[in-house]
Amino acid sequence: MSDSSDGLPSDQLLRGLAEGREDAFVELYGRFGRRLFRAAFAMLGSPEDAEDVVQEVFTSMYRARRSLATVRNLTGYVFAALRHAAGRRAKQLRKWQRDSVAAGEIARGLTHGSVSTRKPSVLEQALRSLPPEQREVIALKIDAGLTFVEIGAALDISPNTAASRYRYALEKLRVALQEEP
Amino acid sequence: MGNLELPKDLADLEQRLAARSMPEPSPELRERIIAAIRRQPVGSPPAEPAGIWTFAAAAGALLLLLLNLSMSAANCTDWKVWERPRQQDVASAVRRLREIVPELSEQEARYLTRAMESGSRLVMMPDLKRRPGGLMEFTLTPSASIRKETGNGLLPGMD
Repeated sequence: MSDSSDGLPSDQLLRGLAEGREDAFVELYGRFGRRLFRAAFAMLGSPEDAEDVVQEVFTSMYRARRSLATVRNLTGYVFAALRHAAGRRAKQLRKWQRDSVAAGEIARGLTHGSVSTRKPSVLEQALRSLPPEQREVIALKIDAGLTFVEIGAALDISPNTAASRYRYALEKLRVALQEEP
Repeated sequence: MGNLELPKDLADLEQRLAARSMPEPSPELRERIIAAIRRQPVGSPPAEPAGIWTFAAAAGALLLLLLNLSMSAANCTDWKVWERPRQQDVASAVRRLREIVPELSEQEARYLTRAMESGSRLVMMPDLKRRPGGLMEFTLTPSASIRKETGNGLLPGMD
């Protein structure tokens, strides 16, 4: 999936984003919104958290819009921003849960009703048992449809490392699924 | 580098992951995001220009780096301070030595001149071969130039 698959070429889009033009952000959402949401959902496991994180990506990009003029790999930049936002959200969630398990459940129940009502599948449970760095590479490859080059740019690792991390994640997932009763 | 050659079981697992049910973003998300962007202050300077302190820190770091590099270079550079004395200096020293001690032969005076010139460069070191346990015994070894000049490093008549 290329940056300029539809609509404006990437350089024009980046210029529009750097100028803070609303139509450029609409275009950006059209290009990345769904993929960002899917990757965020795979990382966090909650659609509400995923939507909040995607919104945070867009607002943080708007705030830092002038620096966007120098971005070379828009896909890598957008998904790196998503990764940081998802990491911050996961940290927040862990803190809430640590502060008080009961309070954490109430908070999640209030804001993330789907978590308590939606039972994760065996596959999702196995996915959540993976280490975060393996889970995110699965999310970026399968759910966001990035290439290993784009994943490398987003995670600041080489494409080969991204590919081997992805393979290890699949192998670990296979073992986890085999161990399921 | 788009695809990875995977064994069949992993490729199947990959397909299973791709086919698993995923929620879609709510239709309101797009409008929510646009509204959130509209709420952002328009005139705020998003990327602040580097201030004077950033410049000072960068300049200081550069200065430290240059100092470090120059000191490393100075330590590793042979400045040739101990270059061999010029032939006319040696000849002059030999002449003056023979004036002071006329009984010295030309060869002896030359040897002594060489010895004086190189004496300050000799490093004290224990002579472990000559006397076991004699770590306190030090010897001065004639330099290669002296050995070349005198044949064996000894004064004439001492061998």
